[in-house]
Amino acid sequence: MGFLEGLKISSSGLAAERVRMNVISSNLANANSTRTDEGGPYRRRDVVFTAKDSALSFDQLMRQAFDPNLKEVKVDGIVKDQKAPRLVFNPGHPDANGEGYVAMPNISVMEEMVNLITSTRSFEANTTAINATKSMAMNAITIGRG
Amino acid sequence: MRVVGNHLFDKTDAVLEHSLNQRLAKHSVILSNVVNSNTPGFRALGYDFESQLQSAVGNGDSSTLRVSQAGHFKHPGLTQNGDLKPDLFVKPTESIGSDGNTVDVDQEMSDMAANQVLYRATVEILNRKLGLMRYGISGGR
Repeated sequence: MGFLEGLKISSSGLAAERVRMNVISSNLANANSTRTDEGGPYRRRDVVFTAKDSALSFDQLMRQAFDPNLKEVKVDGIVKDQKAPRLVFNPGHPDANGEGYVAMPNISVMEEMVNLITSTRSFEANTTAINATKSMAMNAITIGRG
Repeated sequence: MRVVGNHLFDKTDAVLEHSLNQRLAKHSVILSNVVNSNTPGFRALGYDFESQLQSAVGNGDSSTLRVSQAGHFKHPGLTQNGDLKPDLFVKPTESIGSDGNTVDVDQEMSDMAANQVLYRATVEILNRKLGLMRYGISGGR
């Protein structure tokens, strides 16, 4: 367990939050997309985070197989939200159905913004953590310096 | 990890060294909690070593018990052969949200800050001590 492992754990958080932010951006950008390659309106995407054993070397992997402890975060996948599309009455729209309703993406802009803020805060927490690790490491190399 | 010293580097140095190592371990545990603050079902871990280190150091040499027989009473915070045994545990807090995650980020961040300050303080003490030694070596010049 050293500074490098700490940095590795924190950077996994930065990477995961960045993926989440990209997914949220994609959701916001496509909040009004009624056409997609697979047909139908765009469906909201969500990331799934999972805790993954943190290990650098074989030795550590062996040790953790018997005594699991510290976890990194890993993006397990991007899933589609199965909520039904939002139906909006707009008979003039080219994608309107027989009754004049258009299937719009199941995205709530408010919800996405809240998730974006949560993600940003997590990102900040992890950068603060990296800075803390770094300053401890820098402090440690001053040991014995006259 | 045994808290003993020799003639030049005494018990204080040994304690400081162990303290630095344990603070770094604690820091890593906090990092792991912060990084998983959005992972569903993740249970926050805690790391405790202060009381163990305290009992490992003891009040003087005579109070430190060494277990030489399996039947002996064990000193709290020490393993059979007198090594320091920190406590890594799952925090018994309840989930704040509905996803089963028990990480309190504010708590973790303040713990991290406190741990960092104590780490720096430990380094500072070590440096002062080494400085004193250097002063002695150079004959006070």
